[in-house]
Amino acid sequence: MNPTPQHSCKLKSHPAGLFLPLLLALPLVSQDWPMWGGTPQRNMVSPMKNLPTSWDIKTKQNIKWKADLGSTSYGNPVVADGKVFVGTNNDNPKNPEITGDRGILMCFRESDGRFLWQAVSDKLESGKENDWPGQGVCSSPAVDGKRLYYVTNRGELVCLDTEGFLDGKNNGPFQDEPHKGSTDADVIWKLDMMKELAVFQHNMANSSPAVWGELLFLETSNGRDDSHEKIPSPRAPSFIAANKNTGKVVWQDNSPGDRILHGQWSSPGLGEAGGLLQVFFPGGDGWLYGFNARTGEKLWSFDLNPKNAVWPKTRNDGIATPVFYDGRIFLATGQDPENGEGVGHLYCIDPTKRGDITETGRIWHNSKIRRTLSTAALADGLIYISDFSGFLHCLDAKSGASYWTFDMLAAVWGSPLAADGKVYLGDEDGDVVVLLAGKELKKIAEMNMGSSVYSTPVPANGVLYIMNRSELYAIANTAAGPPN
Amino acid sequence: MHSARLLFTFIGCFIIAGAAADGDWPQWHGPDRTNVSTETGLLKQWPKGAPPMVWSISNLGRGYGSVAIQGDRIYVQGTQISSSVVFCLNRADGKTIWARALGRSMDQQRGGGPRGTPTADGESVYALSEDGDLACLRTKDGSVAWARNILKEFKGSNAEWLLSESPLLDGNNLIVTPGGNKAGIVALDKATGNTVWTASELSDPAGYSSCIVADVQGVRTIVTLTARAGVGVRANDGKLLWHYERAANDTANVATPVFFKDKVFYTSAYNTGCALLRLKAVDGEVKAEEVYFSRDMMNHHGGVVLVNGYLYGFSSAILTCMEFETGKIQWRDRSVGKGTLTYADGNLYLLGENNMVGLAEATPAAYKEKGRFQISDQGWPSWAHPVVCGGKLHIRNQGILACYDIKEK
Repeated sequence: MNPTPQHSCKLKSHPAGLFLPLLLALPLVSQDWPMWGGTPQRNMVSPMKNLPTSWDIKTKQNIKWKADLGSTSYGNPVVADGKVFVGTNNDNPKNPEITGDRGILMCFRESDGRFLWQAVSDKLESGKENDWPGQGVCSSPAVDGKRLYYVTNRGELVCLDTEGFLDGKNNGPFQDEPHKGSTDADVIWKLDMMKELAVFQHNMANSSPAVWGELLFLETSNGRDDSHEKIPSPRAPSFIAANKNTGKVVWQDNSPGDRILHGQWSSPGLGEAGGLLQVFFPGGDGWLYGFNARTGEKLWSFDLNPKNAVWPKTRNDGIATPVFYDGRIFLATGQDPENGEGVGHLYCIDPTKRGDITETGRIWHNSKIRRTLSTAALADGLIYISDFSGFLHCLDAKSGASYWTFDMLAAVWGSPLAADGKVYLGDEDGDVVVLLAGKELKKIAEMNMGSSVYSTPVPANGVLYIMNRSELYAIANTAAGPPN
Repeated sequence: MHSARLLFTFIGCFIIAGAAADGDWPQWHGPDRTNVSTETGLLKQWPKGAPPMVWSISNLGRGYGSVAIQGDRIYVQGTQISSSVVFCLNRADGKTIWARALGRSMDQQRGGGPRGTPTADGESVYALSEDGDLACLRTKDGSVAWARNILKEFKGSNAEWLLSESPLLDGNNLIVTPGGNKAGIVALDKATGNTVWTASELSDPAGYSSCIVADVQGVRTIVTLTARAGVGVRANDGKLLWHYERAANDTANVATPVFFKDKVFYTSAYNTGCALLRLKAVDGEVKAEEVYFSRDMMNHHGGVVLVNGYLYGFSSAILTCMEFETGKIQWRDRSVGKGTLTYADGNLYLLGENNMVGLAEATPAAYKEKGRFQISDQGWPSWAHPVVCGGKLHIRNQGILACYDIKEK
């Protein structure tokens, strides 16, 4: 099983064999960013060089291109197959025939930001209970070759053709696309998790799938009802693995069951540990679960809260995505941002243990962090992780010892990106800071993006992508120019 | 009939005089709803620990509302079992004089119970529950003079986090925002509860804000922030004067607007911001024109106060000082953590949602803290706005109301 199938694609795209030996001499790393976190390990890092440290959206300094999105955009960009994909809403309709509140997945050409096609999902009739108005598509897609996987606002896991209908073909078994114009999405298959799996997502289905080999992994967002008093569908799966070619469920698990505290808005991470390919799912019950990724056998579980924690004051669930680095899992806890600030916990976990590993698998624990939505970035033995209160922490990955904390003075929803010896992080005020990576705190620059940056900066092929609420910016050092 | 009218008129006069009396804070954000107290002689620096506590009670049940203080009484909303209740307390020791249920209490994932603050008016007190039950109670014994459910009667639907408004008295009218179709704001006769007018050009659902009254060059105007926009309606007939959407968001608009001279300031969170509008009266109507829009003040629920040309409030979690006329930022500080505030005698009284009470100088120069102390956690964020009145600081946190002596000795 190829852990990073995008490697081979990228190499194939280089026509001249002449360069192949040179490329092979370099570490085999993708220049694309084909899924949330870049790889199934979800580590927010990239070995990319020459990323920009200064830009200006007003003077267009280092702005390669800009694309207009809807008014609210939560589906973090991914870059693959020469395209950039983002989830947004329909407040700025690309197709004047399709108006009103919808969930939109937009596809742009990577080279110049030209709009190529969009996937449109109507809102659910049940309204905010399952599909909060105006929030668009909140899932960050995963691209594997010519196929893209994401979760719609209707709780569907959908496979699309990355070419849309631009190739003039309606690919795949699914033929009933309501829109078949040249700027519409070509659906290959759909798995309606509400209808077929009885999932009842709380407010929004948003999981960002991970692809590994033939399997897709995602969290269903199954949760409480509008009153927060009942879990309408406790037997529905919280976690699933599906065949990427057919959309058929390979295995499923409902471990959080009737103990879901609120919703389940996390995404899975994967890693090889203890001789097994494992998938890690943060549950809405505040536990992290490890499974044999191929069989669905539950290997272990880890309580992410102190035993005396009480929901919602001190007990959290997992919104962030677990990161696998150096054989260990790094994950911090938080809550729906609507629930505000509060205490958080950051853990380093050993996934080779079995059973209830809350004690046996805890390598270290940090409770200085506040509630967070952020996924960690680990590079050179350091962990960078931000929290909802607006602090960016740098700790030692092995010991958990703190090196520094940087105050953004604004709420942070996104995650830090560590790349090119720097750490990038955006905040609610719309500021993106660039810090020097390392044990010493040093701020290099701060740029404002014009509106809140709730997203995570994404590096791909020499370009940094930063999305604010309604715009996607491709940023690159113009002097060097992006490699192509 | 005639004599009854006369009697009401007489009471009305008496009440207006009463409301203006020194040492009262008879409604949400004080006599004029600016949340600025005119008191002086207060402690400039708090002792280590906390200022001396005069009394504390713990029987208010649930709720996020603040206190109204008039004469020797305190009015505050809370719950008893499953009812939404108005409490009348003895100002000297906090002991309950009477408690009256308005209707059922509502639960909510972010905390149940009422969110509003009663409006005291001499022999009457007005209060709106989280479920739309509005009542005029007699202050002598809490008996009901009249009661209406504004959601049912004006076909409004309750907000996600429940109605949070404190009714506004304007002369003989009681103003509330049911958010109904063609009844965004309504005026009721305060004596009878009968409808005087409905703002029929306004169908916005209610926000979580409360109305203020503004004299715009002679045009008396009701100003508030709905679920859709910052609005103004004419006080005598409810005619819609402006509807400004940019400073509103579609999740929760909470902060009470700030009116000063010929300008109104609106702010909301959720990545929105703030705006200053210039108001101009023309032929009995009012035109509103944007002076600035800024993202530097995104106030969630703690409100903003205007002191000597500067606004103070939490922009999301960061206490921010902003120049009113220009929107220019003077300073930002984490202070006591995301919270609320009030102003008196040169200082901001701050209450962080994580139960930290603070005192900081209201100056554009810099954040200068003059003391802080922790109150006990009640399981929910401490969102009730603090009140300074009669040399006392009143801090409500769910079931608890504590009174501290902050008079300079």
